[in-house]
Amino acid sequence: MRNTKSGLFKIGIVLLIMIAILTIFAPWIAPYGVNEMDPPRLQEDGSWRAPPFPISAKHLLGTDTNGYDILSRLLYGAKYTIGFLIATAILRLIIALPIGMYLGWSEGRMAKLLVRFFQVWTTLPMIIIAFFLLATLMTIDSIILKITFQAVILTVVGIPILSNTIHLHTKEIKEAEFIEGAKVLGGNGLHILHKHIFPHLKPRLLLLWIMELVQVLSIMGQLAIVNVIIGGVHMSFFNGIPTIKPNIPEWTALITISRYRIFQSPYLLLGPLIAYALVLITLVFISEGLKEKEDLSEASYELD
Amino acid sequence: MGSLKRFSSKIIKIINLQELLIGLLIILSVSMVASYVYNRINPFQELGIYVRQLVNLNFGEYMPSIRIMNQIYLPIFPDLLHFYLNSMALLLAALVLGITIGLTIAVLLFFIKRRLRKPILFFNYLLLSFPDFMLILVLQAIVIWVYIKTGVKLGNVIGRYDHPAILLPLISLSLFPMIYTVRMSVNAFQEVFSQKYILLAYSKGLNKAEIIFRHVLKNSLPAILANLPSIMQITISNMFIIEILYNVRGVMYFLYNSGRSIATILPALLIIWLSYFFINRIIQLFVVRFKGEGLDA
Repeated sequence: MRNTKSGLFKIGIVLLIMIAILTIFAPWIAPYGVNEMDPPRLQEDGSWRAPPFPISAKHLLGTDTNGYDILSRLLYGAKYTIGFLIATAILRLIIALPIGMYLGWSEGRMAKLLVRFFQVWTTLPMIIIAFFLLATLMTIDSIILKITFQAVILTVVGIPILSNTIHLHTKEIKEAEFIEGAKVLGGNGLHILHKHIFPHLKPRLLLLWIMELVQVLSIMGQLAIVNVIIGGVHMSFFNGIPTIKPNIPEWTALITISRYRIFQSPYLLLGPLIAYALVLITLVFISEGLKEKEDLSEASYELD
Repeated sequence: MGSLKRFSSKIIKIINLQELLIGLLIILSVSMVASYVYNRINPFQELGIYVRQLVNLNFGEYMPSIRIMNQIYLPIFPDLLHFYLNSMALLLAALVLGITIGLTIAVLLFFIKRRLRKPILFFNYLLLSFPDFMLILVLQAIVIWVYIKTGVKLGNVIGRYDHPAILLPLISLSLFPMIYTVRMSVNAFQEVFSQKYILLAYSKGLNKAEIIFRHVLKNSLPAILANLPSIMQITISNMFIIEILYNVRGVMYFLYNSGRSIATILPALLIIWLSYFFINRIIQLFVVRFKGEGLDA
């Protein structure tokens, strides 16, 4: 049991290093440039073939509808997607931590109402709220501003759930006897929160953060299905046919583009889904490895 | 008389007024924001007009499809119920299917060797952390791929008016309840297996099947049922993606496709949240009765 789990943790770390290397050295690894398009080709029978081109030796994961090599776009886009992911998850944690600790500590009416508010918020489907709130950014032209606001909205949407979790953890620690002791010795609230509760909360924060990463990653993908793309897109018309180009080479945009082509070329999904799965598996393996230290295997009387 | 009083107090417990008001407030503000972004009308003014309409039993109009150029408008009231019933039928069918299959898998897992169980459970956990859209897209792509290669149509991938997709959305929606139920049931079973009375039952000569069906399943049912609200919550959230990916004509499809105004967003969001809310409360009451504990307000 123990061996397999720490083995998973090691695999997770190896995968993490691999992803980091691929992300940092993308410009040297990628077979094509980030904006290098493969133009429509003349085929042997004299007809023209427009992109997307299928998987071949030339394009290992095919090209998207604009003729971009999907593998190259994934490699270049990793830093945007993963960067956005990390930033949003950190932002969530930084804001939710004091709120959650306050809610767990305080027994005032305001705190109780806020807990109730957060609990109700949790029952609403997060994707729908995020979708409607992100629609407010439609009119923003500046790409950097748009990405910033997208991160802020995804943070705001996730804060209630995370605060609620931290609130429960804080409450659990608060029940411990040493807190009672600190209170008797005359420690005030802030001192106890800082010196006694936070040190016990700290080891759980990394795990919570990784869970947030998984959560943000999945909501980004869900938003791609409803055509909300990180960084936005710009639409241009070529002979009256609209072509959609993402502003930054980002993974979720590839999901949006390839999902509309699922009937003609289902293989387009292969690249973005593999990339997504790789990041997810890494996170899951690492979080499992972290969890291992906490839980003890319980006795079981089960006989085979 | 006493039973009536108990009944009425139970009703009050089901209708938690504070939570209802908070939910209404959130939904109202979300729909006002969304409406403002699209229509650029003062949302408070729009709300006033909408309330006045409601008083006259006029529920407003919606666009059947946002993409058609010459817009047609249809009255919301009877149609939304139709969308709602479609959604609810899909949701309940998926929940029942998913939980039944999940429980069956969990029971079967306890009849195989423990060494084999572990990798299956880990794979299950891995699937659980994959977002729904990935599994659905893979499912869709496989069905299309099989059709392109062999000409065998396994199911309708995208629904139309006359030819709705049923099988694939149902499978996709029941994936999460199934995977989650397997995990939760296995945990609950293991918990029961760590109790001393299992040892006693073994020593009395009961075989494993008897122990599982008589003791383990029965005693872990409350713990499994306690997960129903969170299963439902995530399944409803997944329904948004599934109805859009498969063109299922449910509430979420309505929400996404029929124009953005308070008149369309507010009732659709409210109807789905309220049904979750009440089912959740009723489940809570039942689970509490199972456990024989008081309901915490």
